[in-house]
Amino acid sequence: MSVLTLPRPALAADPALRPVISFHGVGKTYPNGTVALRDVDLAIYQKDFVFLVGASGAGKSTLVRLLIREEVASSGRIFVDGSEITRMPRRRLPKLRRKFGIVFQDFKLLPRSTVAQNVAFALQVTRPGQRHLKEKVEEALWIVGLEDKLHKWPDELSGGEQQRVAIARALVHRPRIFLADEPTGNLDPDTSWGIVQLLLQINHRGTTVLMATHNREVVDLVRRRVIAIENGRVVRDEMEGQYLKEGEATI
Amino acid sequence: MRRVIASLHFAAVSALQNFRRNLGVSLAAVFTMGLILLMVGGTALGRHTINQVLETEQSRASNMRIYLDDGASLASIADFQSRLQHDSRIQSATFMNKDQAAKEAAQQESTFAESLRVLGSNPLPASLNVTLRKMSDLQAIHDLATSTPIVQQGDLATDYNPAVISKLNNFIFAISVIAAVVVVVLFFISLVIIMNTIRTAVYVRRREIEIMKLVGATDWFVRWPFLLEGMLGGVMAAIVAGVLVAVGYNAMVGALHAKLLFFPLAVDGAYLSVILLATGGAGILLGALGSYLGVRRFLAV
Repeated sequence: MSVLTLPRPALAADPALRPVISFHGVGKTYPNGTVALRDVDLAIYQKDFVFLVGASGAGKSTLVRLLIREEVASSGRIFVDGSEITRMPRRRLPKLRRKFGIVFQDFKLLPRSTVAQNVAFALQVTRPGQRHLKEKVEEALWIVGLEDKLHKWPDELSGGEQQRVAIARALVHRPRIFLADEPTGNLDPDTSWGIVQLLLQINHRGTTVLMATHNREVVDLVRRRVIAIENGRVVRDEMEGQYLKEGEATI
Repeated sequence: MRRVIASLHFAAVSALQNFRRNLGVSLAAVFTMGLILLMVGGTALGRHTINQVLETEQSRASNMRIYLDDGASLASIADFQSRLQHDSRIQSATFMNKDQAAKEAAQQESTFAESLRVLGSNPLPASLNVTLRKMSDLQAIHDLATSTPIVQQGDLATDYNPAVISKLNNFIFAISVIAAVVVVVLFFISLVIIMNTIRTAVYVRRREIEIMKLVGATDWFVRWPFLLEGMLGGVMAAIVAGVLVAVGYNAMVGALHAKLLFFPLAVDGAYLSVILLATGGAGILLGALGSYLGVRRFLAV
């Protein structure tokens, strides 16, 4: 069992050594007084695959929302790809968000668009006039194994397939960082495993992956970096972690 | 350039698509905007017509006849006329002798000539016909006339009738106030209704907006389809309202003309086209503004 104390994330001159994502003493208190995150420090490097674990309400989703600036941190600083984002002006947010590919528990597909249209949508709204749109869409769907379902409607697909469409949509613009907020939350164990395999593949191609989850089997099987959050604090950060701390009682 | 065209194309296609897909809500917005444009356009034209009528009446009202004693000498009349002409409140003062007065009466009333023959003499007084710059000076000029010796005594001094004039003044004032209030109230009601209608249309598409924002679309990219959709609805509403306003205006002028034969009232084509253009512009503006406000809440991510 190796418990790593990560070096304080410094802004190293060599971009390869610079974290893709770093949090420096980040806190988040919602207007109603709920404290979602307290004094969070962490650094995630290029090609990392990170599980963000913790019970519902521990602060996982808040952390994801801070990264894409859906929420603004109450204190501390957050760097994404070298830019400080907590004080980033609104007009620069589209550019920030294009660095991410994001999938959610509820897929967020457009029900009245086909699989191919759903994937193409991401490129059409961020890069209007994109050349070779069709090829890019087909490539993304090929990566997730749905190249034969281009013209299906979302409600004709299984939950796992819908999540794959969402992953293809998140990949099609070749993001630097892939964020998955409970991507297997609505899926059965076998399907979940397929989705995680896909995320590992994406990571293997060089994309940083951050997956918030409370799917214990998956985390324990994969044995990648685990950051555990409890009551808004990072309580564990292990390079080959498990869902629960060794010796921690199972529920 | 390629990007601009692609963005416009995307916005136009999704605007049309959404208009069609949410036809019910879209038509509700068109109906609301059309109704409001109809009311505002109708109010404007109605007010214009009433103003036309009132202007005629007002120009009549600021005329006054000062009736002269039959015995007044021409020299004293000319003297009084010149005094009136040099008065800054008076635009013109023309002399009308007894014969002219009789001729005019004969023209207005065909039986007068007969009465005159029966009477054997002309009972109508000579007069100084005065046109005032402002109606509000009528009383003062009436008082001036009463105190002049060559003018007939008492009620016969002039044709000034304070009751009619003040009624007319009050009427003009009331019409202006009512029209202004109606327009202001309609404007606010319309903005609230349109904003809410369009917000419903936007609400149906909140998921699409959410995804657009998440993948990194700019605010304006998200807005454009809604603005186009709103403007499209606005134009449709303006066309419907414009046709109804034009038809209604013609019918109203026709009906008024039949009732008020003595008014020189006609369809004011120039004013109507101004109103129609303004309706079109207002429709586009209302649609765009309503969409802008309606979409704002959903953009704040």
